[in-house]
Amino acid sequence: MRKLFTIIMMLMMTLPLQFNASETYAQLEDGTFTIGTDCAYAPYAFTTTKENASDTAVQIADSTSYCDGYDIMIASEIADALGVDVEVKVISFDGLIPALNSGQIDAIVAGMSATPERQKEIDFSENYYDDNLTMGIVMGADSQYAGHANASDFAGAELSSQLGTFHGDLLNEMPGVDIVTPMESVDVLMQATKSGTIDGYITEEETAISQGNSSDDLIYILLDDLEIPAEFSGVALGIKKGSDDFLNEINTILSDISNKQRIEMMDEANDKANGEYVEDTNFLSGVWTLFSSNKSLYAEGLKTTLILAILGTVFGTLIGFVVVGLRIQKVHYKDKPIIKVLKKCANWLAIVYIDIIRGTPMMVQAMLFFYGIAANIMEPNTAGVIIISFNTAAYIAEILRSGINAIDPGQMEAGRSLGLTNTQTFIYVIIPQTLKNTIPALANELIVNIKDSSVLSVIAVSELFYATKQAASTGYQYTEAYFISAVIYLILTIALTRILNIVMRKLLNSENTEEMMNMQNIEEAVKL
Amino acid sequence: MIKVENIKKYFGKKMVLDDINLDIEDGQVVTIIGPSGSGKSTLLRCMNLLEEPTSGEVYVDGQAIISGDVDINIVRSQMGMVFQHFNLFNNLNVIDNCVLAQTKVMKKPKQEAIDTANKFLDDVGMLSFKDVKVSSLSGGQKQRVAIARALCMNPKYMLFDEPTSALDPEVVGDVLEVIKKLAKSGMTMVIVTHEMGFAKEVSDRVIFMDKGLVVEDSDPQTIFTAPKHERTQEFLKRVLNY
Repeated sequence: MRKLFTIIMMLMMTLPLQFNASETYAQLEDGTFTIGTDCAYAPYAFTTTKENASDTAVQIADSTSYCDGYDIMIASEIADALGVDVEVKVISFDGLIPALNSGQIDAIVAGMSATPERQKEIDFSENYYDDNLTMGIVMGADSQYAGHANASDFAGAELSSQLGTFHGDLLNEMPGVDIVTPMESVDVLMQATKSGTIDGYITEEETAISQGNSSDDLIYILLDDLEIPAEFSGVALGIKKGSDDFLNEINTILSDISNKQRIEMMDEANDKANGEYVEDTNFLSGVWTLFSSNKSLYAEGLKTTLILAILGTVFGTLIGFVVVGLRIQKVHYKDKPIIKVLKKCANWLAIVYIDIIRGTPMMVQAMLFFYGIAANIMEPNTAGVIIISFNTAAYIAEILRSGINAIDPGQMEAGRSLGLTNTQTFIYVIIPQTLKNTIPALANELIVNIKDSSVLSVIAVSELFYATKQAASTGYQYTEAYFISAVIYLILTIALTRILNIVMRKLLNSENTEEMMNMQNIEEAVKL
Repeated sequence: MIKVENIKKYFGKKMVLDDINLDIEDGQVVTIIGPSGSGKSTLLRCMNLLEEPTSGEVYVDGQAIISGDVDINIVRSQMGMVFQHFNLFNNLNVIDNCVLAQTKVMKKPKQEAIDTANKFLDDVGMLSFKDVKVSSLSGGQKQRVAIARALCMNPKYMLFDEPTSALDPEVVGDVLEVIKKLAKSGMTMVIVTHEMGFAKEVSDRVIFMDKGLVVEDSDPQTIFTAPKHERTQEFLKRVLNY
């Protein structure tokens, strides 16, 4: 009797669960179909501004700019069929698979082919575009190889490919080609080709045409005779492993989009991508055109960079004080054994922290922290503030330590002789003097952070450098875009340096009233 | 009473204090003289444990302050100290230098602490400078503020570590005047000094130290006019005939 009751109970509990599982997917619980793309691979996906956005463009998450192209049209079709909204997150191409597996995005829709290596890590849908198995080479317009059309005609040519794609493998099939290490992104490849560092690079037909047409300095050549293994042809959606129901649903939706529709959509995307590009013969007028059409993008990047640098330096200083507090604990012979151990641990902890942070690049720290821990729980910009704060804290801790060491030991002795504890003397006497002495170095750290925050673009923090990359990818105007960002960075750092100099001069000549205020503030902060 | 018992102090392998025993009675003004490196300052700094003796014990009012279970900060607040280089808190103005420890150690209300500070600043002739940054004061003015700062804690003892050695000759007199006034008030004081005339005038007792030892311990009259020990004679001949 009891057994029967248990079975009924179990059935009752499992029934609704099974019912739910067949209706919705974990990926869509938040009501959106979130896709990841690098949004810099026209005509599949490219960045555009609000003013220029077409009806198929989708606003990029946490940004004022839009992403458009064939991938976005397909993603919108899928989201419509699923009855949810599409959300676009921009992530560097080699960051897409980690982002998918960490749950930051629901699917990769980024012109990605289902290669065997990738299939080990994620599942792929059916192809949503078959690009006729044709590859193209983008080359400099004045290249000696221009005009060739057979895979065997490129002996001696220095050719490269995009990092993380299968394209580089195909270069092995072209006899005599001098294979150059794959490069990080399309913009680097295009620059390298324009400057003559390499003769050209291999890519898929659609992108070869788009990029070859984007500049008078570039041409494209299609390789009709290069045989491509079947698994490399076409592009597919990447889905996290273990969600077969979701994958089947997407395949069903894709099968409803006919080949004719696909070709029409690709033509439309190609037209839009070409419409984005305006060739200016004069470099400066090209710069001006690019800047005026991407003002909002640069403004947003500038704002984020400033917030990152200021918050990072403020939090970094606070954390730096904690670290230096641990670092300067001295074991006293009268301490209890447990206190001695704790002090040793505190020293050790601070030294290890400082060594690790100063001994590794911030870019690596950002990738590790974001894709290892933070991707699921916070937005890139929040993660960016945390990364820059903890990074700068290690440097500030050392600045503060040397600042403290520079203070006359007589100050500490005077405090102790009056009966103040070490901690009290630190708070009321040593720290205010340290701060005053280290303000120039701390201000310098702020300037450094403005520049160094650019590495956070690797985790898609929407700061100035990232905005630059987006602005550039629209029409492949990389030189112009980076020139604009160099000018903005320069104005920003020079202006800030001047302002800080004035503030410092005021502060260092301050009268007693101001110093009293400092003391009062610290007192209140300690009470809090 | 401050009682120093078998104090030894090493800096690394170098012996600075060699088994010192000393009693400072309440109300006594004791000066310590001797050549540089004789350990005078170290001995003074051992009395409030700014320097930890390598071995030995210091008793303040009968309490063992090294091995005993005492709050050293309370003991220190009762032993005002004046340093050769003043050590005023550079981030605070004159009055706040005098107020800080009163409010933090004695937990006095702010206004009461300010009243006390005003009184002692007036005593040392520095009241009109109370809102001034310490960096704008002269050496003599700084030292007078430092004395007022120590007195604000209402100490039972005052320790002076070469209070006039870093001063310009013309202001030495001002500072010595303040210390003399204090001595006459009956305060128990230990003064390390090179000012022989001052030591002779102000002290109840003079201690001559050399090479980490107390060589001679006597009243000022005896020490300065008829020193018993050869090393004392040599030292005084050198400093007085100069």
